Parts: sequence; structure tokens; C-alpha cells
Amino acid sequence: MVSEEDQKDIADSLAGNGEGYARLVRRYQDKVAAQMWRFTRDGVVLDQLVQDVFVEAYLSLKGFRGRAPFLHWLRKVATRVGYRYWKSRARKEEREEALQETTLNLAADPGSLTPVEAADMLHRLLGKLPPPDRLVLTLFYFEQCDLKEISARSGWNRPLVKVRLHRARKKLKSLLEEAGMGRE
Amino acid sequence: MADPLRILKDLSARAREESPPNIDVSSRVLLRLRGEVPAPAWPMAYVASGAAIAALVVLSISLPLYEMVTDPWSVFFILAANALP
Repeated sequence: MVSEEDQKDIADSLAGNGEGYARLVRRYQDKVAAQMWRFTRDGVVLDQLVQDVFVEAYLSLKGFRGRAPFLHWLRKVATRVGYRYWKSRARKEEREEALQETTLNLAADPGSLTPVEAADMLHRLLGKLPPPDRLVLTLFYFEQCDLKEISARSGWNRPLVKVRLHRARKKLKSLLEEAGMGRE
Repeated sequence: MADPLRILKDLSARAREESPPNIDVSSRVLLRLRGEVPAPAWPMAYVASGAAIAALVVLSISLPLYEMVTDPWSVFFILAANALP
């Protein structure tokens, strides 16, 4: 259910009260930023993506039915924005990859890495996959979402999520094996 | 044997401990919304209906006038026709 203060701020926002929406932004921007940090490692891009999420959320606020907490709905919008960003980047990154093959130093034990190093490595690793595979793995492993939640956030139906997760794991496995992991 | 998916799980667990950068976008979001929210449509509707009425008035005046106008070449053709044997 939607909390009372969210309900009030949403009603204020729909009535055109900017301060009402600013309160919602301030309340949830840290959580949205943490989620968007899965989609980029660049602080400037992060700022832009978080703005995009709140702008898009405002423009579709009339469609918010209030059946689930506001944050759940916001996370769906955030996933959409992040996924769109990946898709727009995909072609450019492909060109960059062709010019300069990035090497993955996966020899290190994840436990010995700092969280920042681990996150960097994870981004580079998943960044080698097409956006749908990258999204399903990010949501499953990074965000720890179950199939139902992945389906809700991505808009894909559950059987499709299952198939995509299976294929993405397979692709990642062969990618890691190519990089020298997963073999004796 | 190192299981690739185990590595992915471990990497994800470690990466989740990272704190994202602190940001405050509230003022910039409001600024962007002021530019992106479509303006109410009624001023445009007033202007459009005013222009349509003006066009009808001009049309209703100009049509009868157009019927009164004679072709400037007609005099020449009449003269030419009379001049011919």
C-alpha cells in the first residue's frame, strides 16, 4: 500500500504543486540512485539517469494506481530508463570493443576485491552481453530479484524471463570460460 | 573447478557492499519538468479558432468580389476578335 505521506505528495504533485513532487524526489532519490548505479559507473551519467527516472515518473504519475508502494512503481520506471540507456549505448560500445578489446582480469578471487573493484569488474563483465541478457542477470544476481520481480520490473512475462535468464547464464558461462575461468 | 556462476554470485555480493555516490537532483528535476510539461492547450485552441473565423470572414468577402472581377485579357481577345475579318 502507498504510505500516507506519499499519497499526499502524489496528490499535491498531480495538482501541480512542485514542492510536493520535490519531497517525493528527495525521499526516494538515494534508492533510485543505488538502483541506477547498476546501469552506469559514471557519476555524471548517474545524475542524468536519476533525473530521467523522476521526470519520466512525473509524466506518467497519472497512471500510478496506488496498488503497491510508490517505490515499487518507481523501480519499474528506473529499470525502463536504465535499460533504454544500455540499448542506446550498445551500438557505440560495440564499435569501441572492436577497436580495443577490453581484458577482464578475472583471476582475482572476488573476496579479495574491494566492493568498488568488484562492481567495476561486474559492470565490465556484464557489459559484454547484449542488453536483455545484461538486464536479466543484473536484476537476478546484482539486485537479487526473483522471477516475479524481474517480470514486474522489466515488463517481460515470466516464461520469457526464465528463458532469457537461462540463455544469459549460458552466454556468461562461455564468456567466462573464454576468459580463462571455469576451467581447471 | 571454478564455477563461473559462483564467481558471478560472489562478485555481485561484493559489489552490493559499494555505496553509490550521493546526489541531489530535486531542483534539477523540477527545472526540467517546467520545460517538459506541456503547456495547457486552451490558449492555442483560442488562437486557432480565432484564425479559422478570420479566414471564413475573408473568404466570404473575397468570393463575391472574385466573381465581379473580369479577366484583364478579355478586352484584348475581344479587340482581336473584332479586328479579324
